[in-house]
Amino acid sequence: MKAILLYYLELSLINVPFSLLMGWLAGDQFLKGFSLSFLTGGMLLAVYFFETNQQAKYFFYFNKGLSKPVLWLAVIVLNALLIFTLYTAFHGN
Amino acid sequence: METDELEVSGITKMFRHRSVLSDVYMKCRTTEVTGILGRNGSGKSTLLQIIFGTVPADEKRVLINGKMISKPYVGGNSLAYLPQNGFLPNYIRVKNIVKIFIADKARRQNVMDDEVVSRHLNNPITALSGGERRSLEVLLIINLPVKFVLLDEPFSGIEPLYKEKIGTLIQAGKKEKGFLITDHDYRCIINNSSQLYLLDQGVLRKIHNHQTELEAFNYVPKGTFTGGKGTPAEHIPFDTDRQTLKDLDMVENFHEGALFRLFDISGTPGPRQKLAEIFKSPLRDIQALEARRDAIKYIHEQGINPGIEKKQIVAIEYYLDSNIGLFNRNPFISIVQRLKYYFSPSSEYYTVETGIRNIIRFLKHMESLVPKLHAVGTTFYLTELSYKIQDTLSQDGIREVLDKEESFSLIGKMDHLFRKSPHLKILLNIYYELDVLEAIGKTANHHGFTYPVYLRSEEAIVQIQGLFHPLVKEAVPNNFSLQSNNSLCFLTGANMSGKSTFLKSFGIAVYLAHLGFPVPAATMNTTVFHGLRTTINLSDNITLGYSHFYSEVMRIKEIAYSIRKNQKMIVVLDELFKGTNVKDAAEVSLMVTKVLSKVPQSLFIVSTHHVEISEKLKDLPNICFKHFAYRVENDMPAYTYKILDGVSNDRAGLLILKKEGIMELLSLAASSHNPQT
Repeated sequence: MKAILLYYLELSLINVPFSLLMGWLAGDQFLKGFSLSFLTGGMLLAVYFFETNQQAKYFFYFNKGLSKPVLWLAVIVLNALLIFTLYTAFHGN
Repeated sequence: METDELEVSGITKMFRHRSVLSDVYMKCRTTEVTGILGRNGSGKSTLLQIIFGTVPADEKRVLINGKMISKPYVGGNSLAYLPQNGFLPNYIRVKNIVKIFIADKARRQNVMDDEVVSRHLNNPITALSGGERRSLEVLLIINLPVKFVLLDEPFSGIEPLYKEKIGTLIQAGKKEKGFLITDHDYRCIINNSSQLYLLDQGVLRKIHNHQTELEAFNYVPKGTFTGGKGTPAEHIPFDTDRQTLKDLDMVENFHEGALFRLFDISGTPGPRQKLAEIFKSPLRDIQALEARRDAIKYIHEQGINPGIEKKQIVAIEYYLDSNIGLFNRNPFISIVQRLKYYFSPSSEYYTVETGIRNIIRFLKHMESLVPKLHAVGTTFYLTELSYKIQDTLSQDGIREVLDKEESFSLIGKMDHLFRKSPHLKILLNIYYELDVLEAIGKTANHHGFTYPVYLRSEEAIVQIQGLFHPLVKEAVPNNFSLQSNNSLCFLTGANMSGKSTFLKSFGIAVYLAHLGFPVPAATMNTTVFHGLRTTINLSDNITLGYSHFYSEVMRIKEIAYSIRKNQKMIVVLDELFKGTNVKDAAEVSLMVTKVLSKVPQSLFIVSTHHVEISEKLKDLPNICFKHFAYRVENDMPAYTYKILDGVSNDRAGLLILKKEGIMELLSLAASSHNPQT
């Protein structure tokens, strides 16, 4: 689990700033813009950057028995959980 | 103790129509270290990653204890893999990496207690040196709860101290695990492995005796193990000078030398420059000389022809040397440029397009040469060239060009690739070299040259049968030998009897032998010398203010220095001290010859007309006397150009003058200016 969190953290280093930018561009719809990007474009961009620039780093996770689909699935689930939490916190009522 | 077994079989992998791995089979047990050797691009990393399960193969069977596993890495309890490049996250502390990576507490503590790791626990991974980082990576991989560990280049680019440490970790780890390791540092692999494989041309061969088999498969140069040398020999220059090159008709500028022109049959600037480069760099390293000689012989005997039309090479060179600005890489702009060229042709577009089209053909041709140069029975030298071609062709960009069809839309991209990257220049350089080697073989065959045999003897030996001058038509061959106990040849003979031509032939044979080239003789056995000096056509030097005699004195002084410096020299002196009076010349020649005859390890030929000094040299050891025969037929001199034993007292000067009618001419000249007549 710690390894999955580490991968999630590494992707978030790109996903979060990018999605914040998207949220800012969305103006009043900040949370919507941020969430949409965080779950789609920002995440894909982060995966793309990791794939192209940090290819060897995947072996850290492979050696822990984690395959790419498992890692990506975990990231999608964690992202969804985070967005769900954010929506609950800001629009829960 | 029960051991686990990893068995891989039938691994086949094609990559862009090229077979990377072909039906690979191997077996490894725990407590064993299996070393896999192979050149760059031979597929070692691909093989390890296929076994690990992260790279797909066309076909494969990976069995652990007889049970087939398609992706052994999944689950994390069968195999661990150390990739070539660092795989640890950069921005977290070492102790956190260890905590995340090693689940078992005892093993984790074991890693943290390591001398290097304990020093850096609170540092990020970027604070570690290359060696520290690699040893941490190996330590982490070895401590994973797996049965087999695959290490891809664990020793590369790190200092010997860490190589030793990694070796110790592997030896300690093999008590409970099996290891598959690969690296370019073959000595580390050999030292640490219990069994060896060589991956070559996609085939994995088991190596039973690395000392003979690795040399036989041209993985290491001949003599690396069997010759008792620790490392492949360096290319040490053979010492010579301008005067020697001038004497041997190679002259200062090689493009004008008669001997250079003999081998320069390619007719294009690239190979000519390469030939000049080789011609200027004689060697004294026996392995390098044998390697070049064998490569020339192999190319000639096997009829390997670099086989590209001259005009293609000229078009490529013209394009690469042109000052045309680089085309835009955008495919759309490339299409527009092509359309524009269709309606309004320009020389610039034509040059670029023709150049690129020829380069693509050239690249395809170079690819087709690889198997020919790598065939069974080839030499290490050619195998090296084939590896170089293969490596360069697999570089980014070049590979894509080979795999795609020619397209107008790619012209800008290719223009950038060909004119900016060094790969094309590397390939052209290899082509030039092959072209030169082929030309040398052809020339040698045409002129009846032979391949020299290099003797591995401490003694200085030169034995030549049928020596001739390559630039003399219908030259008379001669047998000649010199060696340490017979180190100075005192050569005499009448004028025009062939002394100087013989001395030049000898110098040329020695020089060519030290280039690894065929020599103008029927057979030649020689030890490798450190240098060659000849004094055949020495003139005065007005610039330095030297008279002819003083030039000769300075030349002898320079030769003395070079003998002192190089020890094992060949020195050829033709008609010493012509620039002084006969008595003086005889005395000085005698003195110099006596001293030279005492120099050990070097060989000398001294030719002279001062036959009288031979009497005073007769009792000295190490001197042999040779002469060129001469006889008078119909009152005219007749020469055999054959070298014989003994001293010649023949004098042909007067007869030659008579033959040429000099005396009559002078008499006529004198009478025409005499007022009394």
